[in-house]
Amino acid sequence: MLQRIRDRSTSWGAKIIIGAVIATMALFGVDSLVGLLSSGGDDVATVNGQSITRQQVEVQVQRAIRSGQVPPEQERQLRGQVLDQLIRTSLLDQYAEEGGLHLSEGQLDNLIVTLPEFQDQDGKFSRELFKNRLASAGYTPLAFRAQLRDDMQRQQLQQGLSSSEFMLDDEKQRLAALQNQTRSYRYQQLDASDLEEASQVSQADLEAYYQDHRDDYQRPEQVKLAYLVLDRRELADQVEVDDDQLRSLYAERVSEADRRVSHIMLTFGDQRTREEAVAALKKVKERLAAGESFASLAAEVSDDTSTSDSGGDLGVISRGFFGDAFDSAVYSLDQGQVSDIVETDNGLHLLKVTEIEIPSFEELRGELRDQAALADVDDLFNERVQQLIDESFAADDLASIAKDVGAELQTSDWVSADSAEGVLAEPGVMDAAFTKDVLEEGFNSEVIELDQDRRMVLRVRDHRPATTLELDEVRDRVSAAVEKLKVQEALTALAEKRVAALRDGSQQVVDWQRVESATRQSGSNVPAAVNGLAFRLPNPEDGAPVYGQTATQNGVALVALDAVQEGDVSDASESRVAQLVERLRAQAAVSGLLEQLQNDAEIERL
Amino acid sequence: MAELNTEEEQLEAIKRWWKENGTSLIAGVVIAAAGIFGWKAWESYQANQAEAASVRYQQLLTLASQPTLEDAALTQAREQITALNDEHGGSLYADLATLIEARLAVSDGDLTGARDALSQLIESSDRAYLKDLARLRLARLQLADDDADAALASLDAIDSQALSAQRMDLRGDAQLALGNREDAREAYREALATAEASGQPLFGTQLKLDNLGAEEATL
Repeated sequence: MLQRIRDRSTSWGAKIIIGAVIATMALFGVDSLVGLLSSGGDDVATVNGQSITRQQVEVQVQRAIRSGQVPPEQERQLRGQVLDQLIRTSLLDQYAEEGGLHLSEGQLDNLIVTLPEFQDQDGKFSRELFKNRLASAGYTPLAFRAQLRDDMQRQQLQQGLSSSEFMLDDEKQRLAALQNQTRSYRYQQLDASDLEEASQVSQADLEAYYQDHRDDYQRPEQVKLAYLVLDRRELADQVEVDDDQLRSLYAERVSEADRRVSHIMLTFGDQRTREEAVAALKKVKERLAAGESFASLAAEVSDDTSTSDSGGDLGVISRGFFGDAFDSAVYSLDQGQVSDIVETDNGLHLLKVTEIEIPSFEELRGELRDQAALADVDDLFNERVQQLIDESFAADDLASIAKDVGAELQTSDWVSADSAEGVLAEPGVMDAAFTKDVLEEGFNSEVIELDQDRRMVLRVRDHRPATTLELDEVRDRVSAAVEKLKVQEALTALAEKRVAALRDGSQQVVDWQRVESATRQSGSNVPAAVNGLAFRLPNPEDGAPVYGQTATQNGVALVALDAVQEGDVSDASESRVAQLVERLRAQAAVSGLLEQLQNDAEIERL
Repeated sequence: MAELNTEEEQLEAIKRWWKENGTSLIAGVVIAAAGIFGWKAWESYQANQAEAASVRYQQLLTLASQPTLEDAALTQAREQITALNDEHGGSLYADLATLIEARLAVSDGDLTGARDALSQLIESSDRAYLKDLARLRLARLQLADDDADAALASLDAIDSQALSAQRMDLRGDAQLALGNREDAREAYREALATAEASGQPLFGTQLKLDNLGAEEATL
């Protein structure tokens, strides 16, 4: 084979082809050939004609998932976000590219060696660390450099926009003064008891309010349902389970339960041979059989000094701690029994199970019964599910099926897609009710798998479309709303009358609550709506108060603003405000560019 | 084409073909090679240029990231800005450097210098967004200089949709400076609405609007 290639490669044709390949690679690099072969077909979007490939998106998605920050089930959502992000960076990259932003290999080198991620404990760049970090993040050095270059170019652009932002002294002072302004005002709360007569609500009022607020009285599309649920647990509840079955299940559990184990260990090698160790342990066994206690023998004989003082106790052991030989010995022992000689990597052991960690049979009886019953009804359940599938497809009612599969037929009152409760609110149920076949054709739904133990079939008994409720049906609600509105209006009128009386001097005595030098965040003893209003009223001129009114929780508040005091402007508050504003403006400069680029760009999602 | 059976015939045919086409083929190859090498040389010249600008600009960013600059640092920064504008005029680096120049002038208390830098950018740059950003900043300097009319003119020239929240906010400031309270109120309201729609928060606009007094609650 190789020989044939060699023979052929001496022919003119091959030489020319190889020459062309070499020339192209020499002049344009390997990329040009690879790019030529792999281009096209797999784009997910184009940004001003530049394509974003599915592979680019996938690489980012996999990188994010591998980093553990994104659970796999959010992958689809993540994919969309990644694409949006790629479009944004692509826009900025294009802008940077057109503007001639550029980072040289030397600049990149300088940057890479200063990144803390690639430095060892002494703060020095480590080539080893560089390679490992890149590999674990799924980058090749070349790909990393390319991405770093793009990142840095974008960063140059963004930093230029944000670090050129400034804040003028005038602006700082003005904002800090406004922010720290205080106001002195009086207020008075008016509620329904201040009105001389209760407001009358007429039929015409109700009618008018109802017509204006029809949107508030919508009723969504609703259905009445009939449904049945086939439940494996219900079936299991009806099954008889005898005690023998429970006992054998319990025995199974006992044989798998964690055990507390004590041991007497003899090592061999330096001090004694294996045969001597075996002989010594045999002697120990005889002494045990003669009635000596395991604990005292452990203390006397065992080479495991860390346990010999505590009767050889190793603590609670699960399978797999000490290897197969150990496990098979321990899990074949009952409580109190001592094993034959067992060999592990550490030496030779005699093992004693001192405790089996499992609740008593009686305590577990309920659980065991469930286990046994569920296992028993497995076939029955599957049979019934199949029956349900077959019959519900063919039948045009549910009652007969309910009887056949032994489930109770249930009915619901009117429910809409988002007002369902209980089992009807479980995922997929209302979706099934509003499918065309079920809703319009009146068929039984397909069998809905609620979870692995429950299946449901439903049908629509009655259906009414979305509608605006008639006034008669919502009279109480409308009436309450109108009444509240009337009171509000009457109180506003009362507030106006009082202000007029105060202005012309016909009334002087008003039961005011006084608030001095309140700040914007004023304390809890003044309703927030009142303090907010006080800060929204025009500045009083010529010593005359400015009056205003605002709705509060239980009526209307009348506010008289007496004075506005310029805020104390400290250096601290000034610079805090300045920093906040400057940061917001810097952000706006960057995000503004992005928005503008997005507005102007031709972005096509494929 | 007649079949060429013997090797001599083939060789003869190749020779003939070479005589007819050889010169033009070699010429073609030479021209193509010259073109490619020329293009590569131009590219590498460009890259060198861009690289020099990049290094200068990066130094400028480092200097400008300090809140206040010592005289020496300021001189150094100005040198970089001048060099970027002289040697790499028209590049994005030069435009961004000019924006930074304005900010350095403001920190130095030289508002006239800041205005000049921004005006220069508005005149010379062909990047619409950067020009609009410069107009926005220029308007603030003009307001601080009590020239609300000039500020309004700068703001009116702004075309970028993305800057309209800030533009309306400043328009409110300018109208207020001119004593047009109602116009100011309207501008602030529009600024807030735009800011909310675009998700770019504005600080202080609500305070300024509230301070003008909310018409509907006043008795």
